[in-house]
Amino acid sequence: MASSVLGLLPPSGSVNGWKLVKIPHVYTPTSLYELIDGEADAVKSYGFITCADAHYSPDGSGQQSVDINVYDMSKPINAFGLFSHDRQGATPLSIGAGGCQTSDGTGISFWKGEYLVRLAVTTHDATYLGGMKSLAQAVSALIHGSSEPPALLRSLPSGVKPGSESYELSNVAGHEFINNAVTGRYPSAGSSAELFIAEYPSGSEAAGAYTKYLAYEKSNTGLSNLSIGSQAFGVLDRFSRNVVVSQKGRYLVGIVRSDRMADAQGLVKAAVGKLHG
Amino acid sequence: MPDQKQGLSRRQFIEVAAGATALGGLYSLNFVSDTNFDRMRARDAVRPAGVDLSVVEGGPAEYAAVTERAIKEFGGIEQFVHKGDHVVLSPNMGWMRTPDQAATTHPDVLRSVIQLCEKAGARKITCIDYTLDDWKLAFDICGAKDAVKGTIATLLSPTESALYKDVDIAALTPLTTTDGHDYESRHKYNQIMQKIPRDMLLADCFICMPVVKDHEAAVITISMKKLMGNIWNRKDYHRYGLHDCIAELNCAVKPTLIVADATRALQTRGPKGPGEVTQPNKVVVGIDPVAVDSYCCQFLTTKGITPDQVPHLMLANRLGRGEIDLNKLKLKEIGVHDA
Repeated sequence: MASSVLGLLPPSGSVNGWKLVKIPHVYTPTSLYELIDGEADAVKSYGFITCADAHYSPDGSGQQSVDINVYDMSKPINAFGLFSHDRQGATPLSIGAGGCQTSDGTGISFWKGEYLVRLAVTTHDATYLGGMKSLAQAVSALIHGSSEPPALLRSLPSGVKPGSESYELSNVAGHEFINNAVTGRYPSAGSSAELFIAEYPSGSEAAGAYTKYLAYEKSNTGLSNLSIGSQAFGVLDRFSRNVVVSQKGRYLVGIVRSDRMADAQGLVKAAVGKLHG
Repeated sequence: MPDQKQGLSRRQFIEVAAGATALGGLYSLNFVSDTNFDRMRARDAVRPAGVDLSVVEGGPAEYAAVTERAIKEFGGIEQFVHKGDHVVLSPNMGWMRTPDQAATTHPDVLRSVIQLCEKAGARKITCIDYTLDDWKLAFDICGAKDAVKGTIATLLSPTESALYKDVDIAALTPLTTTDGHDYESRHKYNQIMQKIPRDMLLADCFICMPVVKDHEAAVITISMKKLMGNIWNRKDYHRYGLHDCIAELNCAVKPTLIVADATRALQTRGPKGPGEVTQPNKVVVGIDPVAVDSYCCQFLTTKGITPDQVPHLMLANRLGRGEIDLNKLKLKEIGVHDA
């Protein structure tokens, strides 16, 4: 496994003369914490196997470097899931199956096949920023295989903020009972309004999650039943503002942080209408 | 002999000590002979009358003034730092990231607090963060090394277990929640014995100075999660329940003061980045970690994080550690130039 991620690193000196500063290191689920601290938990939850960490500089030495991390996430959907976090608010970049660059230019992230690739620099020097892009392209060229995002993304109703779509494995909308979901932001319902569609193995499990959500909202105001899907409610949550949740078959659909209840209901209704229970 | 359990060798430790000399005394290590203490000695936090949080806003060139004003509006540093105190500051300075990348506490904010502590008569000031990146490079790139220049403050990355002391977190965690339910701590159930740096335990005053960040695993990292940057046994927390352990840790380790750096906020790819960065241009001061962190959630706009999405905030609130409902807080929100 380690050899596969190491094989995706450009050989020293092969990209415009950029040389490895030191021998690349491979991190495993046990040691990943040493590279990215607590973020390791999130990465591991997406099926992480190994990560190659390599540092390049123009002459193979010095304090500044372009740092490359190649993560083997075991499946394309997992690589997309983690990438979908990285791209929130970032500038789209045409690389791999989908890429982005931080607004300040110092970070690049992309996914391709089962791999997530992250690059970073700690300088705005044009040499390093240009080198980072060249090295990113070189890594991308070394990755082969299919890159299919989650099919459930197609069930998101129209109006989703481009680039906000994500794939979440757990703790959706802050609830441990909502997992395996796609999410997207809907500016028409509010600046931070977010809709989720969670898919469960069975209808009874989706209904169980619905019941837990309903119980959670009992103490909030304006709780009312709605006619959307198999069952639905709307509520004014003290933190998440206007919330609408519906269950249909093995799906749980909801929206949080909507500025207006009518918009929230409309979006959930549209999403439920695209699902086949 | 390398200590495999700790992943460190005696040689590495000596290199850290040698670095202290090589860098002109900027870094110090403190060996203390005290034994058998199991809780912090820092004096209890005192909330000034009429204010739960002070929040001051100003431009990027004014971060030092913003910090000073925010502390002044919360009663002034003299309420928290007394003459002759050993003050321990806990800023984020463990990553090889520039201030603009917002993974670390801004050096102007850090320097401002150090200078205020000096004016209040602090005898000794130690800035602690357990670095995962190379500590020399991290301290340099994030600006902490410059921030302490010309002051009495020293920087410390306690990467050796001898610098820590066992603390029984479970014994300091409430047995019931505020809504009347029994609570069995993760520390007790999983028999986690945590280690805290001796400097922190012995400090007269402990000031937590987090930068406001997204965190891919903990949802956010502000003052409550920041305490994990100072403990030894982090892996058990990740193994047995991150949010529960964070809440319990905050029941045992109580800062004398919290100075949250919201001058910039790391919106994505936390805690290390690089990710999206915004500039709220604010400093938030308080003593209630739940209140500080709940308030600061509003700065994490890219993901639209609200306090109820953060399990360690919810649990800490139920354990009586602080207030999560901003409507119940007395806020003093001003601009740095306001009268």
